[in-house]
Amino acid sequence: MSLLETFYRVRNWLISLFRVGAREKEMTVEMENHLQLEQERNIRGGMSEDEARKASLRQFGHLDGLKEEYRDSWKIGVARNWIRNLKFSLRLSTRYMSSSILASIALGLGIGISIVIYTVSSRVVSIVVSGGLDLSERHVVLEWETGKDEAEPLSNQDLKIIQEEIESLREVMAIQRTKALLYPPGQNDSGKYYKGALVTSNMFEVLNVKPRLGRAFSNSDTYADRISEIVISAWLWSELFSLSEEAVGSTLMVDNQELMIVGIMPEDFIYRDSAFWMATDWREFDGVQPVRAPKLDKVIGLLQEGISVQQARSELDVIAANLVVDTPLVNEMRDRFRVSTYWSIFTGQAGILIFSTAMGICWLTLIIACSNTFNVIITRTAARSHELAVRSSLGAKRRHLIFQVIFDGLVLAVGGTLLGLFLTIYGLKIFNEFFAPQLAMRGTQLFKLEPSVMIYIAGAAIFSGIAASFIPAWRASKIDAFAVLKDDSKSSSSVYIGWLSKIVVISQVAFSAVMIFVGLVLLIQVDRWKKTLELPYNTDSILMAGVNLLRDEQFKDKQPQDLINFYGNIKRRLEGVPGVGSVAITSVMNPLVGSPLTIELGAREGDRTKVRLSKVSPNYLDVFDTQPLQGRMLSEVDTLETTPVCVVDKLFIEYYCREADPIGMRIKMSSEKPRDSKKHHRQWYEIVGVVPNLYPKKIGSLQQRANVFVSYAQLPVWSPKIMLKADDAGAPRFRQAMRQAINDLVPASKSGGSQTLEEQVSNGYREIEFGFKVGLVIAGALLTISFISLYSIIKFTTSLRRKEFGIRMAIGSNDIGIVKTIIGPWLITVGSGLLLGYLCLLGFLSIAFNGQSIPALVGLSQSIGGIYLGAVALIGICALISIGIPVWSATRVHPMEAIRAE
Amino acid sequence: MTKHVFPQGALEMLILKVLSNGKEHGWGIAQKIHLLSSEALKIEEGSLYPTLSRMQQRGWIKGKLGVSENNRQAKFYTLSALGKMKLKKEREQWESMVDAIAQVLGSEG
Repeated sequence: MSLLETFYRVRNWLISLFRVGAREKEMTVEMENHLQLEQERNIRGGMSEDEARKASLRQFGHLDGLKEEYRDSWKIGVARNWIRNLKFSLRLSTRYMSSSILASIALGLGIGISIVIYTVSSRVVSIVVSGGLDLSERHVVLEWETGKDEAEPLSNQDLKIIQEEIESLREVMAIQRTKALLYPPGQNDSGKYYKGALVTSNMFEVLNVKPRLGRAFSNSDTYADRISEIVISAWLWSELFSLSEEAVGSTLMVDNQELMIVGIMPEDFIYRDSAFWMATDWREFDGVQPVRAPKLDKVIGLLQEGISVQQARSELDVIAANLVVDTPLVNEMRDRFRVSTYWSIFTGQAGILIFSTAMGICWLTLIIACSNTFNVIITRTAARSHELAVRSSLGAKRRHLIFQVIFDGLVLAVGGTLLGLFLTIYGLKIFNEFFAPQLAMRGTQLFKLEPSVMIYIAGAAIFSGIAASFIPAWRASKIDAFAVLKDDSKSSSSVYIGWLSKIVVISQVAFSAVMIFVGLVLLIQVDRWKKTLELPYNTDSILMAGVNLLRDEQFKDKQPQDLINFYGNIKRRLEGVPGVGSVAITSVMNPLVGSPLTIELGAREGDRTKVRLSKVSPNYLDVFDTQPLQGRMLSEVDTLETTPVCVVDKLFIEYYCREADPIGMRIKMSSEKPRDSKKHHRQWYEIVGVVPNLYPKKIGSLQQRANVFVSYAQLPVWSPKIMLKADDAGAPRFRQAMRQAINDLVPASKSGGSQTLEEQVSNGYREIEFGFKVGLVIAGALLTISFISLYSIIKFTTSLRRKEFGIRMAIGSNDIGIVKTIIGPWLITVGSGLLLGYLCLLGFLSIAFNGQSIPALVGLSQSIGGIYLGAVALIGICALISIGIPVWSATRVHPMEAIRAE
Repeated sequence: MTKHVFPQGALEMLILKVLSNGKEHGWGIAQKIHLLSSEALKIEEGSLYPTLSRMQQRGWIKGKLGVSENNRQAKFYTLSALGKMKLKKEREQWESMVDAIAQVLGSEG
């Protein structure tokens, strides 16, 4: 059959299908014309008009049969039946409007939530595992094996040797995270610090990604050419160039160096929160001591065709062995490389727990939504028993009845699926607009809808809609018309749901209870977590900036006096700026993270515990507007020449000195590293004061460590963080003053920009906060879907008993009697569901947390029962509302009206 | 008169041939085939109209309501471009088959 003929066939088939009236008319005209002409011929042959007509009809044969044969040639019988069924299903949906809408919303929400959960969790896991890079099974991540969970990063020198010697890898690329001041040429003042990455020039080739505009790094043999290029992210392009295409080819100042923008990456390409990528091979570090060589954030190899991961691992083992022999001091604790694929990292990390929990929620949500559709269909079909019986007795075939019920399910499933896809698209849009900036990725298509996922879940939902209708359809087709019609009052006034439906409702209640429990936990945890993060002072009034003194020649001898001088100078400079209250130094950029250290308490020698250590300047408390609670604060007189002293916070007292006076107690710092022989780790520090708690005691449910503060003069800090106290510390003038002072005093330091404490805290916890916010949205959606599902099924089945209530009222029943008849069966069903839900929940928790104590992560040890009771109460309220509304409306209607309306 | 059973596709070919001379309604097509075959072929209404409808669905012919010579409404068929190609192809196949059959029948074996 030619293409042209196929086209005509399809076109004419569609015309016949949608203009069937015109086709019928043509057929009738044609046959009538034939009969008339034949009749005229017969008359001409001598017959009377009546005889001629009869003869022509006789000759024509069975007219209706011929017409059927004629219609058959249009081949639209099946399609017309489908359309008829579809119209009927649409009419049915309109008839049971509220149940249709609620079922579609439940299914739509189920699909929407499932796809959003899948997309977000897989992306988050990808960020955790590979920083967001899309790695295939041919990519391997290379690190130093440590024998522990954490591996150690490779240095540029390791990379160089691997690149030179490896044969099983086609290419090896590396990434080192960095931070740089970016601004257009000549606009130094408008510069802003951005996180970015130094990468090997083959990075995009290895990852098989292409810029959306421009090109990747050139393959120029000249190193100077390659390092004069920069590739920027889509969100930086949007921020700096307002999406102008002229950005490609223009220049950008990066830490006072002029680079040409050669490419702009697609919106969905991310590597952590990098705004830009610059090519390098770290050759400026070629001569440095191995310990000072830069550590690479990621080294990724691309396997040669036909080479397995195991083969590459064997070759890398040999290279590692040589490296250990060549540089024994550097590689003392190492003996081999860790070679991992994306999947092996994924399964080896917490990612698998996050992902499988997310998938569990995803499938439970879909099951609830689909079982709701199932129940709606089964109860609708039960409610139509009378009508189906009449049709059956009038000769409707079994397949017609089955198809009609299936179409009902299909209409609901398609409606729900379309709504679900709509919700997914907008849901992901909202996630991108509101949550991507949380991860410092403004304007990024962080969460992108995968068509395959969409098709898979939509297909599953439609299939489940059809499958869910098949059982009620089959039951409807086997209907005993005689029995149903005879027993009319029973079939029309009370709905027989059947054991199957009851099991589904019980499962639905059980899953809803689990979902509501999960939702409640998330809600409670978000609130609890946020409360614990509140700090007892104004975090907007402290501005902080880091400075690496060792990059500057003047500090290369590490003389403590140089550090003291630096502090004096910068303090003098910054305190001269109008509005600045005080200036201090600390070793810790993010006070909520700190530097954990093991200490030994003098009072209990040998008893080790972990604290957070901060090396601070004497006026540290001034920036927090607070005073010591006991004893004294560190002072200028505490130097290397005097007795080592420290102050501790109130939390330290709570943990270790509840009854003893802490002043005068001694602590010794000891490292977990066996090789550590630093002097300060061997000496005792005397506690001279107690300061208030400056940081939270708990973050979420995690107990925080106590804090110990020592003087920067006794324990020098060569990467100090400058703290500036001012009412509006985030104002540009303070940031500018901070940058200027650091640049003037330590020109080679490459200060990483300044941030207020508020920014520090929110940056440090933005991933966690992001997780909780996502959890909050999902919890809300889960609560909604559970409510809608339960409400729709209970309301629908109860409202179908309107006539029965009317009769009961007519024969003397009162409101309480009616309520009892409805609540009784539902109490048993809902109660069984809740019990099953509790068992499922215990099973889920024990599987998810591997039988260990659940609490450390979610803080639930004492409250599982309580929260579950909350879920039960919510379901109870939902059930009461669902039953109460139709009962209330039934008791308002006059019995005669209810019976007449039926 | 001998009643002929049409070989597969022959009726379609005859209809296409009749319509290649201009538009015609169903009755007219049957009459023309009857006359052109020297009254040897008579098309049954029971097979004519479903065939016409099938050919129209396939796009070989076009059907349109019009007014006949005796001022009555009728459905007239015309040949489409696809139908012309089909007729040419069918005719060639038919002739080649007839030749082949004739050769077999005319052989001495």
